[in-house]
Amino acid sequence: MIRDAYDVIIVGAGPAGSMTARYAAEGGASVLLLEKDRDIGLPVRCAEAVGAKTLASYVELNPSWIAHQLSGVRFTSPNGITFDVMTDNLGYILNRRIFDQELGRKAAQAGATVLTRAYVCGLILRADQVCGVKVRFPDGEKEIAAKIVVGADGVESRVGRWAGMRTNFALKDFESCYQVMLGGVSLETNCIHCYFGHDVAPGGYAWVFPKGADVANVGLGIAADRSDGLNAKDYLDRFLEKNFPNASILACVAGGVPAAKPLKKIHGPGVMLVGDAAAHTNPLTGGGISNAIAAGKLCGEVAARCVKQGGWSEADLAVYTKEYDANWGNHQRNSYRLKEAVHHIKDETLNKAAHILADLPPEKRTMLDVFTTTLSHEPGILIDIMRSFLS
Amino acid sequence: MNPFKSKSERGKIHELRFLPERCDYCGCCVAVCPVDCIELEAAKLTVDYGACTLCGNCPQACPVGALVGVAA
Repeated sequence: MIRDAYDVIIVGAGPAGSMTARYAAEGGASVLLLEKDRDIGLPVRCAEAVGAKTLASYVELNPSWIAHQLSGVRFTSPNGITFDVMTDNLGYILNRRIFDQELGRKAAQAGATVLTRAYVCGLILRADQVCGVKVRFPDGEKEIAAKIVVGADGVESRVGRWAGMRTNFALKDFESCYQVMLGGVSLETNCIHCYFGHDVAPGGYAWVFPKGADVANVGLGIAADRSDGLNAKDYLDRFLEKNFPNASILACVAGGVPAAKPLKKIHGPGVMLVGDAAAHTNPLTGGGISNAIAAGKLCGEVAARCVKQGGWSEADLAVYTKEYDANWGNHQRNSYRLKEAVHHIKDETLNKAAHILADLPPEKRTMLDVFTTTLSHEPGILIDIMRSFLS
Repeated sequence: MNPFKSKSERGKIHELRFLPERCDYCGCCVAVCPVDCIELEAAKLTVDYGACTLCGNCPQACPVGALVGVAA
């Protein structure tokens, strides 16, 4: 069933990997998509919120994987002041298990060969050019050749390291997260709810994302360098004790999110990185699904084009880094600077800002109004933000 | 800023302990390890203690306290 060689091998069948596989196959390349776990889509290491606009421009919406429609964001300040910012058609809470399987299926429909329980344990290198992967299957190891290897192997990407394209994330640019799916909660809102504060989630935020009438993904992320003896799970236990003391836990999961500057290069000789592996997550929000599917499409298209043109050297694949940067580089860099600024705003300043914003009439609470009102009353925030943009 | 900071971060802990019963196999430790000495297969985590520099990154990044740094 498995051949000895493919045009493109993709490591990891999350949204980034499956999109890459689909578009590489649609472009005419022979494609192998490998997943280390036994099921595509499991375990779900995700808070499952995604913006409506980007999603709709890359995939056909399917009610089977939309768990809940979102119509706004509710913020809670460190001292407990809450205000909503409503936006029509903001986004969705997905059912990632079904969503990921659907994207895998689309890759298969396009002609890619998809395989689970296939752990990639090394790269085949010839004079620095990546020429394939070493795969550990339940019944033994096998070397499979490829013109292009794509690392869609998540936050821990070893493909990126083996190929010398990235190193470890700095602790301050890494969000350590823990999440539970709660049942039996009463949520009277279609808002995603974000809580801020040094005691809630230092260097990050806590979230309550409604997944249905009485189910929610409740989790938090902390900047890894701020964990002074307490880990993400400790902070979440404290949060649940305070806000959902009687709820049932239907699932729990740990995970990490890159909150980093864009990598200088997401391509190398015969290799490309995509999704979390390439730090494609939004450094401010931690959101990664739409970035992953957008970059995955580009990555797959570039792979197919290069195979067709007969060149997959580092110079040939450079167009991938270039096009990614042209499309999303500035947005990612600005989000990173904003994250740096937000993480340095003191709790008292956030409390003051929330106090002012809570008085703003609901119809005036667009994101822009919130921003300008905050700045006009709390210019200190502007200084914090400016400082991070200048550094 | 101290130019030697990143080097002096080495050996921040005296010993690294892995508590498998707490591990969720999420890969945070792999993502922050500067020497790539942790391997994570689907539900199997292996630390190459010989290569580990005791930098203390993974205990800080681990969301569930499965990697514990014993203070120097």
